Amino acid sequence: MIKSIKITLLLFVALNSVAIMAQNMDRPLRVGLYNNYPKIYRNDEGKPDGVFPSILKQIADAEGWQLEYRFGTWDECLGMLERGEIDIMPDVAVSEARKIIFDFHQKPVLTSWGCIYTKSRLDINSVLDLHGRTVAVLRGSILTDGEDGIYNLVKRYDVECSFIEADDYNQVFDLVRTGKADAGVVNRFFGAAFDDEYGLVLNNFIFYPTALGFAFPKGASLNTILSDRIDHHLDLWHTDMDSVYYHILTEHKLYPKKKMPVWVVPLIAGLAGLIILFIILSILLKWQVNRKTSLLQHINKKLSDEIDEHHVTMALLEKSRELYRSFAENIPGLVFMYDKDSNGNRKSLIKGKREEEFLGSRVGKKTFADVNNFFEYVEPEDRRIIEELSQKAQAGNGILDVEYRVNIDKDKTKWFRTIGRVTALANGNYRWQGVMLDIDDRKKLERQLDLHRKYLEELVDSRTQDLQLRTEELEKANKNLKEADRLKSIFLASMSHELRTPLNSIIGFTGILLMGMVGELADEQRKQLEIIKKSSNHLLALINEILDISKIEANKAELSLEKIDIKDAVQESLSILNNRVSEKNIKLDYVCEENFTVLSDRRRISQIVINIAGNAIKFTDKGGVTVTVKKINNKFFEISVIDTGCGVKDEDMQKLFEPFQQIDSSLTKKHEGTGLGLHLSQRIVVMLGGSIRVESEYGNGTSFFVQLPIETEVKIEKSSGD
Amino acid sequence: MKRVLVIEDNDANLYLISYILMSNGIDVISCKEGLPGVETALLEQPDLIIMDIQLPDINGLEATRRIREDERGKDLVIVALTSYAMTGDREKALAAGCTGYMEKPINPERFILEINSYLGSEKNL
Repeated sequence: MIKSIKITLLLFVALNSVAIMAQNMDRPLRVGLYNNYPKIYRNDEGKPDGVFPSILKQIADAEGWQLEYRFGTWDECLGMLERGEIDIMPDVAVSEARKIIFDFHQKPVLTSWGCIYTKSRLDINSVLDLHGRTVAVLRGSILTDGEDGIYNLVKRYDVECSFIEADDYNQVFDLVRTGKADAGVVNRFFGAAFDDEYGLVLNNFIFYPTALGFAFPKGASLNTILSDRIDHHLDLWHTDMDSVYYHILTEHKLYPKKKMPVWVVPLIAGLAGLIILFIILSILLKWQVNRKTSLLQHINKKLSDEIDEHHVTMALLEKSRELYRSFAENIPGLVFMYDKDSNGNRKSLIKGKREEEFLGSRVGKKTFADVNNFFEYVEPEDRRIIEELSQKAQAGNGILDVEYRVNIDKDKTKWFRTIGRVTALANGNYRWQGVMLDIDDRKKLERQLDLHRKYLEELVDSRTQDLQLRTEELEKANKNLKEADRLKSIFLASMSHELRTPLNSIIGFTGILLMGMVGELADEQRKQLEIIKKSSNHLLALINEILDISKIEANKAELSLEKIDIKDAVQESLSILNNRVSEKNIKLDYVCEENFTVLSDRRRISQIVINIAGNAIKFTDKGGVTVTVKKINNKFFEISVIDTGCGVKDEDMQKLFEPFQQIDSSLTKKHEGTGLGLHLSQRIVVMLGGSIRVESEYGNGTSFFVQLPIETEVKIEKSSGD
Repeated sequence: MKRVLVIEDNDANLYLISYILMSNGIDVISCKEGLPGVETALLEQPDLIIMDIQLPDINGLEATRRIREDERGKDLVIVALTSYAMTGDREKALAAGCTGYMEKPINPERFILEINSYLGSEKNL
């Protein structure tokens, strides 16, 4: 049954090819045409001419083929043939290389070989004689770069010569004639036809005999019939010396036909026929032998290559095996690879030697015997985790990274980590591969670190709580202090006011009595009343200054800003001190070279001047006090008070502005004062937006420098709740 | 004889001021509270009013404003008694309509000089 189908199929294919053939023969055969006189060329009328077209015409006429020539250069024609754009290409030399890309018929049409032509006789008898010569060749010709072409010949015999490639044989001959080349390589046909015209000489060295025939596109359906018919005709003609074949050769001067005695002709014809036959036969033989040899060589080379390749592969395999073994034995972990089936049974694919080294002898031996055993020694709790994560890996990205404990011995547990990858196999199993690491040391360290961390955290927590409590307490205390301070200031302010009211009458009535308004006073009475007056004035000054400081501290002090002529204002303040200066018999100098206006609080400036200058006078017994007022820049002016008094010790400078701190307690009695003057002055200066600075050398006087803004900024009063 | 109205709640101060004024031949009328002070000022039309700032009912500034609001009080001479270190009292006094101010505690010598200058008298001690 099957056989009959096969036959039917074969028949069908055969019929089909015949049908194609018949169909294809309906159209003209496309034939390549190029110029290579006298073998093939386009004559003066533009028609194809030469040996090959003439022979092809004879065959076509006999077979009833129609021909249609396509003209082109040699390269173009070969291109067309390769692409199947022409069906037949005449004048193609048969070579192994060309047989790969074209198909050929069997019987040669002509036999060609390479000839060397020179301008004068150079006696080139072998390829060796070309040494040092310049040789003109035809580009792409089989005689040039074919298997036994001139390129390969010189290479084979280590002949050093240079080549010039020409586009056609005419150019080759031209190069030789003009002396640009020493020798030219052409085929025997061209040489014989044109040597006289170019005046060139044929040398003895000939090479690379090749059979010339028709070539067909590789595997074209027409090839079988074309090659069969061409061979058929050639076969007939070769045996008949009077055949159209020899006529054509003669006609194209390839077969000498000279006037000779009648008997000579058949003799020579016979001899020539024999020689040609002999040549053809020998070439054919050589051709066949070459073909077989090259085929054998080819097969031989292929086999040898395969053996070489095998050796290389084996060596690579061995190397790779060695690398892998070294890797698996030296990696700081245990490499595994097993397949797990749907029943959960695992089959290891690699046998390691390191199970015992890694897992100890008890677990290692069992695991080496069967990888399934390993999991029995994993801590049950961790086994569940491994199972869970494995399922996850199988369903997800295929990566497993898990840490677990293995009961290495009856009472010894060790930590391990497995990093693995799972892939699903076609048979439904899963392949697991990866590495197992001993992380016991790391885990121990982690445990210790964890303990330390917890301890530290607890410590920090308790300290933080302590701190928070302290902070809260401090905040509360601070708030209370601020409030107490404010209340103190308010209390002092109202206190002072209440204290002052009775003082008003004491001072007032003392004044009336001293004025004698009520009546004449006895000396003793007057003396005592003076003491009352002085004491109450002192008390009043004290109260006033406390009131001022309290107000400033309670943020209740107000500024009364106005435009002031500073020169007069300071002068006026100093005049109050005149009595004291004259009492002490010292000088008070006032320097103000430039009068200018400032926006400030007149009474506050007066307070500052009286306090500081008064202070200076108080502590100066010899010399005097110099008060200077001047502008420093556009924004500030300075009041300086320089005395020649006792000066201040370095260690006492700090205390200077503190309340109730008269520097030398021994001086206290001598230099009576409220003890608040400098402190108050400093507070006022700051309130006005200025600064105060002291320079002093103990025993050599003191200098105060007060800098105040020329335009005092109006402060926005803070709310009393602050 | 010039007449001065003293509005002052503190007995000792009132006595002191009155004594100095009377010793200088000035007639003194007095009030110890603000509202009666205003009333008296408008009715009696004194040559000078000495107005303390701190009073029990309405303060001296308010009393001054009330006097000035009345047609009869427009041209009266009112001098406020202000305290040292009570910044702003003077400005407030002038703003309320006072003609001038004097500082407490009173220095009798300077006080009488100032009073006389307000009364436009040449009289001296």
